[in-house]
Amino acid sequence: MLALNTRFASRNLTTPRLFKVLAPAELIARGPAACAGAADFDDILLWLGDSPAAQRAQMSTLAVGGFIDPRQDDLPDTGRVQLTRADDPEVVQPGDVIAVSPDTPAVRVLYRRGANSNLLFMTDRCNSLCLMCSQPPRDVDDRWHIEENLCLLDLVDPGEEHLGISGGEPTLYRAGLLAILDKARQVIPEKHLHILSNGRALADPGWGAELARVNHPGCTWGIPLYADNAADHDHVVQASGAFSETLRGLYALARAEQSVEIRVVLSRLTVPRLPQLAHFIFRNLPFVRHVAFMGLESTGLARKHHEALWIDPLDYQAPLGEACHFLDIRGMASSLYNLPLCVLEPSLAPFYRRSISDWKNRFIDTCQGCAATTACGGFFKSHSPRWESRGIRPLKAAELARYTGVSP
Amino acid sequence: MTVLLATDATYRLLPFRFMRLDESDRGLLLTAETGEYLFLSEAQLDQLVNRRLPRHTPLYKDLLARHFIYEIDGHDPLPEMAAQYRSRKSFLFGGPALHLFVVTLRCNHTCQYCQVSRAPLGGSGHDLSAEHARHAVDRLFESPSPVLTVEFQGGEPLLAFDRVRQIVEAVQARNSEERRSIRFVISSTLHHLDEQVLDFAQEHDIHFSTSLDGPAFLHDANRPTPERDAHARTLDGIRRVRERLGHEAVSALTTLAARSLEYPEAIIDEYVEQQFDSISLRPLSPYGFAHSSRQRLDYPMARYVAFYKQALAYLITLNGQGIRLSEGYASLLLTHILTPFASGYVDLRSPAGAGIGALVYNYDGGVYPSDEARMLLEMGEAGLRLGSVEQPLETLLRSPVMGLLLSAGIAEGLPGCADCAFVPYCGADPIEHYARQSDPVGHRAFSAFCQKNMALLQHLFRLLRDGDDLTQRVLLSWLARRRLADLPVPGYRG
Repeated sequence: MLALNTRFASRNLTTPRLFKVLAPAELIARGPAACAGAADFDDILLWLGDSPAAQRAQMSTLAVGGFIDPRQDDLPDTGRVQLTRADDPEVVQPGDVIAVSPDTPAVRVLYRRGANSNLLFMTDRCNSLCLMCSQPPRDVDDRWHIEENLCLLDLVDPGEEHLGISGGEPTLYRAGLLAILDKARQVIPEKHLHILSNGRALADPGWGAELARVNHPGCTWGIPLYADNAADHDHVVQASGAFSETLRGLYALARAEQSVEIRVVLSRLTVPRLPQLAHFIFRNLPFVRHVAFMGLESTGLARKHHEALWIDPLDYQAPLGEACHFLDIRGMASSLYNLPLCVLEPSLAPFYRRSISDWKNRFIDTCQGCAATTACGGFFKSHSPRWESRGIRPLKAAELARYTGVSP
Repeated sequence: MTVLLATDATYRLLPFRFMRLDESDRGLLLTAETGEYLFLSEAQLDQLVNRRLPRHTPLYKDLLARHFIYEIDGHDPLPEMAAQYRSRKSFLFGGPALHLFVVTLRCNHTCQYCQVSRAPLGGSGHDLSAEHARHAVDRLFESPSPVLTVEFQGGEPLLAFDRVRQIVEAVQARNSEERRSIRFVISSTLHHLDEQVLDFAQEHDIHFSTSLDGPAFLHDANRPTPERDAHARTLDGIRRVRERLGHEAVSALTTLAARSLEYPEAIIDEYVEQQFDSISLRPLSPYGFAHSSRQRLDYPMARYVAFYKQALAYLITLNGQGIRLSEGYASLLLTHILTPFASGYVDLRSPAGAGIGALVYNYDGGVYPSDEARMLLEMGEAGLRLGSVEQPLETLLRSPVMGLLLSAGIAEGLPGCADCAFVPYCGADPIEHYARQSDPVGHRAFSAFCQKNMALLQHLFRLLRDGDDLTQRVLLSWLARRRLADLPVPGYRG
């Protein structure tokens, strides 16, 4: 579980900015072409971490934006930016894109080379207040994320991979999001974008046409829908009228020929009508490519609403199965995320994804000796006993075979 | 946390229809304009329509979510209803997709019930001319449909194979620019299949549709040839097509004469033996020669329905034993009932599929809105001709015949259909009503089309409501076109 930020000692930093960290060999071989978009030597922070002392002096004459060595106390002053003495020297690695500022020793990793969970974070603001929100919104003007993300797009690695766009609610900055999608289409058309949005703002006429105009070639919208009726959905997201807006938003996406995924967080509030929700999606939103059913993350607002939200996953396997099989038979793909494997009804194994991002996933004491740890998504970092199913147990190899269909 | 409760405004009804299936506590079938449905009790219907339904109950939420009711000042369900309606009627966007080319009327069979009058083998003046074929190909591409099916009919189209060849080559040459998705099908007894035909079919990815009426004693009685070997020759043709073009390259249809109705299991067993994965159990149509020999061959629809139910039960049992064989008409009806989509089937559409979904280019250069319409011609009814193959599609579809058919072609507006709970799943068939009742609107009480679809839809709805897990899984495997083993459980029944 590698953090996404740490503190460095910095020198010669006069303005907040982003850097691409490159090791000497890559800098020599590719120069700024190691970045996907428009970048020059000034955008590069040369990684001195593994260089012998003799070479450091030589390299410190290179005309790059600056130098980084998380384990060094100090570097010879060349007048360029220097980052040294990291609290956690593992956090920043060559290939990463980092954000630094003269106002703070904090260094944020905005892009981690090779990670499965890179994200363009758009805003802390949101127009809903979901009972189980893992990142409670803040009412701040944080438009600066737009400019930061536009710069970030230039500095990420070229090549195919998934990139998330999330918040908060990313559509709240309409022009900013459209600018980012437009730039992504130009700079990193090969990267698949996954936008997490409640879709409410998309109900506003005009969005559809603008998305069609931007015409990003590989972009999926992950939109939560928590019920087949307005009262239940609006209660979960704590926003009156949200159900109507989200549905109109979904149709706007369909008209703009966008790829749409529906996301359902499994809780005491959503489970009772889960099969009916699957039915609603299939009948009314047949253009949906994928339905994701997700276990609760016991963090943020969810902790405050434990009583209202918590249901032992063992107790919703039947409605979950009805929903997944209903969709599967009708040709609509569905997946189960964020659940430990041992609570799962074996017939649901084909839908199970080992999903919790690398940096969040962990196991607990009960899991010792379990045969399934390489097949299981484990638990969120925030996991605690009151969010623990009574079904958690180490699986024997023979039991694992019921899920994988492979004999031990 | 704020508990958001909608104000206690009363609900209003959205348009729906209902039907009494039986006296059980889910004996009422309610269907919404979109095709969504629910089973209710008499008492529940009473509560519903008198607006005394308690809120926050599962039934109340079901009715809201399926657009039977809405709340004033609450969520407006029109976008969902519009989306569903658009999906259900999506066939209207494409224009005619099924194009039947009657390349000859000549045939070696002398079937008593022949659906399409025939001419003797050596007859002349019964073949489509090269000139007419060229025009027909122009008409095909005037249809805006991105997906087209070119089906060769007869008579026996292999007896005019040069014309088939000309049309396929012309269509493919033209399609190198048009880039439509085009499927070729030859409807044939397969008796005249030779290496030249197979080579050509292989080169151009042509599929075959043949008739297999059951075991030899039924098939040969239905389809007399001078040599009395129709069954054996068709089986031989099926084998040769599969060897050259693959197992899926040939499908078969069943025509049920009066005698066939005594043998549902024998007919199905024949399809199992010949390794088909789909069977289509169609009743006899009132067309072609069948009309004049009706006394001998025709049967009351009730007899067909009894046969069909028996056949369906047998098919479900066989599927449960691991034999994969679906019934075509049930599969279509299930698509209409269980999905928001149109099946594409031209005979079960509203607006009717004739002309709007399909066109027939007859051997004499006449254009007809359906195969049945041109069969009426052979019976002496020239009235349903749209025009000549030399006229542009726009002119053909503006012919007075289309006006007549469409004025009787929207089921939602027809007497007897307008308030029928099955209308979202059914269609209008003005040509059949014209043929049987001399009136394209027709009277539902005397309509074999209505009798058949009513009975079959009721039967399927009962199976969906009451059927055990195996029945559900088999029906769903037909819907999904997947192996039964891929459907371990039926999932939510909806």
